Amino acid sequence: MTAIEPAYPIIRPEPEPPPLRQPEDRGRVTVDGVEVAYEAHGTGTPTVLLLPTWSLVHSRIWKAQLPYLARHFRVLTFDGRGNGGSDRPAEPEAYRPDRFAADAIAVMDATATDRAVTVALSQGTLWALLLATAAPERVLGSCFVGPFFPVGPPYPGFMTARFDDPDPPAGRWAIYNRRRWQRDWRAFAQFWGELALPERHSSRQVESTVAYALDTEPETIASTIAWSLQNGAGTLAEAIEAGGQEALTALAGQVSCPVEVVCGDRDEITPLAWAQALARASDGELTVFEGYGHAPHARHPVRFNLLLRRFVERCASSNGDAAGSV
Amino acid sequence: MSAKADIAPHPATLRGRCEVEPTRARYPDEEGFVAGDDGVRVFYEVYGEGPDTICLLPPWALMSSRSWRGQIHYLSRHFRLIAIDPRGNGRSDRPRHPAAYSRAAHVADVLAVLDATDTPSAMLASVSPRAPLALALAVEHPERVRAIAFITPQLWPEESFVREFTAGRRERYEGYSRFNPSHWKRDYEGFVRWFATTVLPHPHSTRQIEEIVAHALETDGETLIPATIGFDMYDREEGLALAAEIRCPVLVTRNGGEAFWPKQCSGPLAEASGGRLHVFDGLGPVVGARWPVAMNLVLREFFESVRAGDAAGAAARVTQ
Repeated sequence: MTAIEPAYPIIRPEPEPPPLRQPEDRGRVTVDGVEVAYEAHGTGTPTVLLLPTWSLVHSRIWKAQLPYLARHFRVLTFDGRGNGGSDRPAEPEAYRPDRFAADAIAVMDATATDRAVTVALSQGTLWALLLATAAPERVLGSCFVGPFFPVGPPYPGFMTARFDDPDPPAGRWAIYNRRRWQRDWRAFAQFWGELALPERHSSRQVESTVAYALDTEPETIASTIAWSLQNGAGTLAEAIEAGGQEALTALAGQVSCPVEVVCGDRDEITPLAWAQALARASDGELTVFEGYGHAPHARHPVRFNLLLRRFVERCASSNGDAAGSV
Repeated sequence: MSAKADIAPHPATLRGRCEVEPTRARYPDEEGFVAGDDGVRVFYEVYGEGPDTICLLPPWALMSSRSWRGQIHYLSRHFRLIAIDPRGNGRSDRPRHPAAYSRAAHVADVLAVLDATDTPSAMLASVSPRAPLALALAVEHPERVRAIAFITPQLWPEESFVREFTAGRRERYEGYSRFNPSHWKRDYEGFVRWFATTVLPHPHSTRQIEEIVAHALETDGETLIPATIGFDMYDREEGLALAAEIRCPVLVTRNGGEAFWPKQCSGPLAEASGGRLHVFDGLGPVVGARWPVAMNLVLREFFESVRAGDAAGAAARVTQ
């Protein structure tokens, strides 16, 4: 049915409501002088580590998972460096994937967490793969949602956007640009939220994406891109094609723990083909959310939470641990 | 005049389910039709089981029993629950004569459904302009009514509504002047879209707006006009006097946010009936669809207090 435009003045949007659940524990860890804020929820077993994604947003992206998972497991979240309660270093080097992986290990150490099932969304895929291969004794299983696994074309538009061009070519992707972000950060956040959530009735999640992006600065997020674009690459596609794709596939092949990959078939940020490639390379299960975009965990939380719970329980039992609340 | 001649099964009754709702959180355990003396068939569903039944009364014929969908799956985990489609919408028949939409006809429908489902008595819930139906049942058939939850009740017609409804044909209709039979005949869909967006002005209401429009389009202006004209509400004095006769527990809810109509009868009704008034702070006009958790928690608490109160009363009688 055709979209209905409201005829009546919309009541002013409310700010993001407070979290439903207070953490059992919260704290900060420091890695290379960068402080990272974490929270621990629930008291069950095993521990589920909900990793940060691109620093455009922070750990509140997992708000639809937290209350449910915390009833059955212990859940760790932390804000990726660059947003939320964590530091916002300016230098691009601070945003290397192995730094985010080091932050994850530091959070696990600080919370006396031997092993966890990791859950990664989008760009978090990179640091989850590093964790699973560099520290396999710490990872019970890996779940990847809308995975950023750019092993080949066709590329979504942001991969071929010329981020540092002062005058990018006109078109839909001109907005993926340092200058444009400085001029109108909110417009980019709105664009990215709508791109991630093509499903109807997603206005709430889009609004949250904008709110989280406004918790940080465009200059900080530009640094996360700048790291990827070193060595003269003008676009993310150029950066990854210099041998990066084989390395990525090889890395996924080294993952030895159980893997679950979840992806929407309307995902315009990380296409389904990348999820299929990741599942193949890592010998993982793939679940496709038909009709869903880049945030199936947010837009269909019940189905996602049930799937994740079953996966966590499988990981725990295949490892000999009993899963569930203490 | 016999209303039987102009009753034909509406396409919606043959289709069974409205497309805007491809799946449901919970499906009925039982469904059926009752037919009154005037031959109008009325559709009902039963969810769950047990000795304590909630009866969700039919809403204004603009909507069907699916307007309760935010409540049905939750309440039916804790109670047996009956939902009834109003004459004029859902899977009930759509007579075209105002007499077929009288308050008495609706009372007979509810009693027929209670009888058909072996329900000696039920806790009722009504919405807005169908509050008179709950009041009539409680006063005329008190042995069938254990409790009433009046949600945003309208016992008597709003002055502004009457003024617009009887204003005759206009050049253009906008805002509340759309509550007009000529407008409904000429541009029913325009009325429906205005109503749905006006009653849900909060952000992130697109799903609920879409559902109201879809359910309203299961009927038409030619049916809604007699359905509205034919339903006799009370006048203020009579309504409040009758409310004072209610003996069962009463909950009255009022929305605390935007008011759809300037004046509501919630306060006077709560006072007259000895009932509790609950105000949904900052929420409204439509709470059940847009903030279902808030509505469900209040309703469950009320109905459980009725269940506990009845049990305590029964125990007291045993020990006497």
